[in-house]
Amino acid sequence: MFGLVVANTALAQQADSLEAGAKTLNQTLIFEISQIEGSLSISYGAMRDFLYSEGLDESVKQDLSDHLKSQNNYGNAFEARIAFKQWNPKRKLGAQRGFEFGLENKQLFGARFSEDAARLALYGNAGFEGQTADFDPMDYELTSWYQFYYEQMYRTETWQYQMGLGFVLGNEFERFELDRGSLYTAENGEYLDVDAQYELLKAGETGLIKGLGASLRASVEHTSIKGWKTRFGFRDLGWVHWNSLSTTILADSSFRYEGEEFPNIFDLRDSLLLGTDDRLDQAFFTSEESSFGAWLPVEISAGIERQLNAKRGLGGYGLSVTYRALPGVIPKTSAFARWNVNRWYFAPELSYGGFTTAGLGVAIGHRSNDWEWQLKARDLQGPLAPGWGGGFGVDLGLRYRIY
Amino acid sequence: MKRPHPRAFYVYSELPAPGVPFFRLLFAAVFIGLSQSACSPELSEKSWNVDVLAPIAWTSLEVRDIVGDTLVEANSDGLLSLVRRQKVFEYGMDDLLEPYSSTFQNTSKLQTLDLGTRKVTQQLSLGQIAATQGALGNFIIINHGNSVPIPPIASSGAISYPVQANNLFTSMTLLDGWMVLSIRNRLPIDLVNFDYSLVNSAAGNTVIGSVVASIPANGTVKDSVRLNNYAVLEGSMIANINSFSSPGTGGAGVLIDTTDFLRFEVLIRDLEPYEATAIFPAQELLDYTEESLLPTDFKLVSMVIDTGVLYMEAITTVEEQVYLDYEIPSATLGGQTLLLAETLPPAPPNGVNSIISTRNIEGYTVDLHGINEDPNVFNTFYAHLRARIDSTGNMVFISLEDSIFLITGIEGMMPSKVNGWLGSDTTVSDNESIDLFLFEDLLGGSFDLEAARIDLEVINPMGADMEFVMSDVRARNTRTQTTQALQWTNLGQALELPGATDLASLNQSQATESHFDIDETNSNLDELFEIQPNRLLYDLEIRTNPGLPPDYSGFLYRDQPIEVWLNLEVPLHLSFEHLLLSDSSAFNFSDIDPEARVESGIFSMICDNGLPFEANMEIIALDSLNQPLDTLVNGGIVAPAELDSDDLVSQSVRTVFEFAADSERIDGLRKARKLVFNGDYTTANVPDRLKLFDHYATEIRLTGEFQFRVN
Repeated sequence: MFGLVVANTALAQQADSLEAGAKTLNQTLIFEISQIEGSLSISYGAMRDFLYSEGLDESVKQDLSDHLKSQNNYGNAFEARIAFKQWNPKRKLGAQRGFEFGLENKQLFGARFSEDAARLALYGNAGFEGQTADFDPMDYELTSWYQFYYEQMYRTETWQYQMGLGFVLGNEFERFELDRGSLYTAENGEYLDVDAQYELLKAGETGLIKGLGASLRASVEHTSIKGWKTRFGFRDLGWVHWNSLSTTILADSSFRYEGEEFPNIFDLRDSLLLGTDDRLDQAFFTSEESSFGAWLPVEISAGIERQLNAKRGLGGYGLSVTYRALPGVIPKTSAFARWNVNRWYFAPELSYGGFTTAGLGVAIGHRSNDWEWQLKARDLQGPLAPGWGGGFGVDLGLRYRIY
Repeated sequence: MKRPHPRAFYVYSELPAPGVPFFRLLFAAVFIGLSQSACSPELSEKSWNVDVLAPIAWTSLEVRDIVGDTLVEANSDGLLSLVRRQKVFEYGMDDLLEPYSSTFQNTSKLQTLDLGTRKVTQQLSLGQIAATQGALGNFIIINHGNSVPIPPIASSGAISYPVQANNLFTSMTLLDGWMVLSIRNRLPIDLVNFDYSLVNSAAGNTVIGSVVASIPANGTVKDSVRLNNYAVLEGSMIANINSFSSPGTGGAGVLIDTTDFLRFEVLIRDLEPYEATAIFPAQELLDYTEESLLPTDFKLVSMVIDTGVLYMEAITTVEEQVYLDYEIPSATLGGQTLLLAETLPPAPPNGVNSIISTRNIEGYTVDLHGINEDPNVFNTFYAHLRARIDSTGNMVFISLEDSIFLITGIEGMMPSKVNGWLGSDTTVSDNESIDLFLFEDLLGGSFDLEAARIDLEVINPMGADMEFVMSDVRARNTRTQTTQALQWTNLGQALELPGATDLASLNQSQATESHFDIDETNSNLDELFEIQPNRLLYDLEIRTNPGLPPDYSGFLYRDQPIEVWLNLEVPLHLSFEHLLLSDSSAFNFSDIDPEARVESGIFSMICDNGLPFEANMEIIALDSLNQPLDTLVNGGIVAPAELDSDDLVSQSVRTVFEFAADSERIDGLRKARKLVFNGDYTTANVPDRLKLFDHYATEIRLTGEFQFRVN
């Protein structure tokens, strides 16, 4: 499983060592769960206060506001996997074969938005009197799906290949892409000039499964004689067909909103007020309820590491780059190392990118003959230095060797 | 394109901010994902305030909006005139004719019953007679076929045999009638001292009986009896031959044939039964004709019915099915006469039966020349009622005491059109009063008009020449208790209204229209308007066919009454001072802020006045009991537009009112259910009269800068 191999490098190294070179049947049960959220611009403290406080007092708004940049982001990801993995006995000649199948659940969200958009949302437009608030860039994507997958694996002394296919059950999808957006607030609020072009796709409202699709995954890994491993792979390269209750909204409109027009102020009618939203909506966008297809947010990764196989002391180190195709997400580069203390290991990590900027992570793990577990905290700077760090994440991995 | 699914944007829809709907989209776009995260709290549970500055409403207020719903028209120059068309008088068929209803009640006992002529024949053979006569009888029987002499018979024995008429009747009680008995002797001997009787089988009384001195061989004798005084005749009777004698053949031989016979023939005729249980032949029970006269001074020759019902209710004790026909022969539709035909079921023994039936008579054309179609008879039609029974072959009991109770009639008959002479009458209406809907929104102030005009339009759709006289016309303002009389050159004059043309094929009248102008050249009309009247009082006479001989080609349609219209035109070239207008409208703050998220704010009303008059505005919020809650604008004076040297608007003038609403005031507004707009208007440069043009308008914008609570 290449995805978490990259995400949980230390555990992957241990697992590989657990499995590598087995000359008999090797079967492993895997359970992994991961949660991370972060922002490139907003401090973890402000984000935490915003998300986990009941209200939103002025200090939180101010904190958020102080950290705003011309472009801001926020994202979170939840991934869980349960899988069965088997390496067949190694043959004297040819590749060792194996397979893996399992069930995954992923809930991913990424967004980016402009400073003006955030200020407008936090403080309203009164501060923009006589000014134009620019919302570009502003887009987000929320995708949630379940996936049954199967991978076929081959390895030789120096190469390892994994290729797999997933059957995707789409659970939730919403994607907003703004091409153009601004709001001008006239003096005294006499009118608002709105200019926007965007597309909003949203999966149907009802049911746990709102779409069906398929995905591909593959990876290749090379191990040199000196213990250097290089990896490249991708996963979740897939397509989901969301059901006919889904909605597509398109807006490409520039209009001036001067308030609701009363033909006669002496003939004010409730219906005029009540109909305001509908008529404005009609002027602003068009909506169609029908099925549509959308790509899953693919993840691409590459890495290089060196395994030293020391029972005590430095067990390895490396560098990896990962990118998930979500709005507001930038490629994440991580440098990591691993120290072994008999059956224990300790793995620090420094990263940049993903949902947040610079991040400090650490993993601790233990392996026995049959069991291996790992607990990892990512972006520790978030809780440790709330005013600076932009996120936080936790991973938990368990492996059990059946045979 | 379909509208979005109502739940398509739940975050979007959870952030309503009517008045600033754009913000909902913004909040949704920026924060929607935060609430979607698996481990993040729901954004909808968060709450914070934002400062929203947004337009809420705007209007372009024109003169036509201020003067209410009165129609305002502009001429080619754009000069506005207050125009109104109002019906002030209507006079038509419903005022001239009452719906006609008439009921006829008949309790008809059966006058006669017809039982026809009934005949029963019974014969007695020689063999049957001989069998009752001992040795002589045996002698006769033995000699059947022989020629032998028959010795004299001194006295025979008695013979009885039945006479059956049960197949015709069971019994009858007769007021009158005759029974004729024929006795035909086909025996080979003469019969003398023939003593006979016919008795009712059950009662045993003798119906007829006598001693006939002689009935010669091959001879016939007749006897008769009058059956009256409730004589009862049974269908089962017994014929008795009490005794007879015979001289025999006198020694001469005669051929003995035992099939020779003695025949009795009973004929009952000229029957007037009181009651009978019999098979009755078909017969009329009731035949009744009655004329009806429409109560009108017109002389109508025909009419077409618009509304009305022909009805019949019948109750019977007759134990036979009775057929009822209620017909108005002079009423036709599509070649068919108006007929209400019903079958009255037979009454049970000693009981009654009844029916009720109606028929819509709309569309029938009724000739009103009466039963004899006399051209000198008017307003008259007739109805024909018949009751009859058919012979059913059933044995039923019918008595002259049996009756048929009938209620027939017409209910609510109104014509859609009448033809004939519509009379020569004068209808006088004194002190007629109508509401005028000209200045109903004005609560005070005064104005001075340059001109005013009324086109008095009279529409006569009647097929008769008319005259129309108006007098003592007064306008009244009931609020100020002021009255102004009209001075008009045509007051009290007979205004001729020529008769209309009947477009019978189109079923309508081509009415004549007559117009009479009332304006500043022939009246003081502007003075009437300047008191801002809300009532018009007048005396009116309408004369039909004034001094004209009867003309029976006249007509009148029900749906085309005489109408008098006032076509008013008041050019808005005027001055006014402190003209008070008040209006109210339903208001519910929750329509603006359905989820109570507006905490406080400052509302601004920006008026760019392009009207040449100033307005002193007051806006009051009322609760559901119409009690004042808050005065939103008090005494705010909107300055008039700037005028040029020709007193025409050259530039609008802006006035801004601010209305601060703290949370307490907002809470108060939430209870408001009505807004009252009071305006005090005064033209610039009073007393100069200004022209109000169509393009004059005031732009009013309501904006707000308020604390808005997100969620």
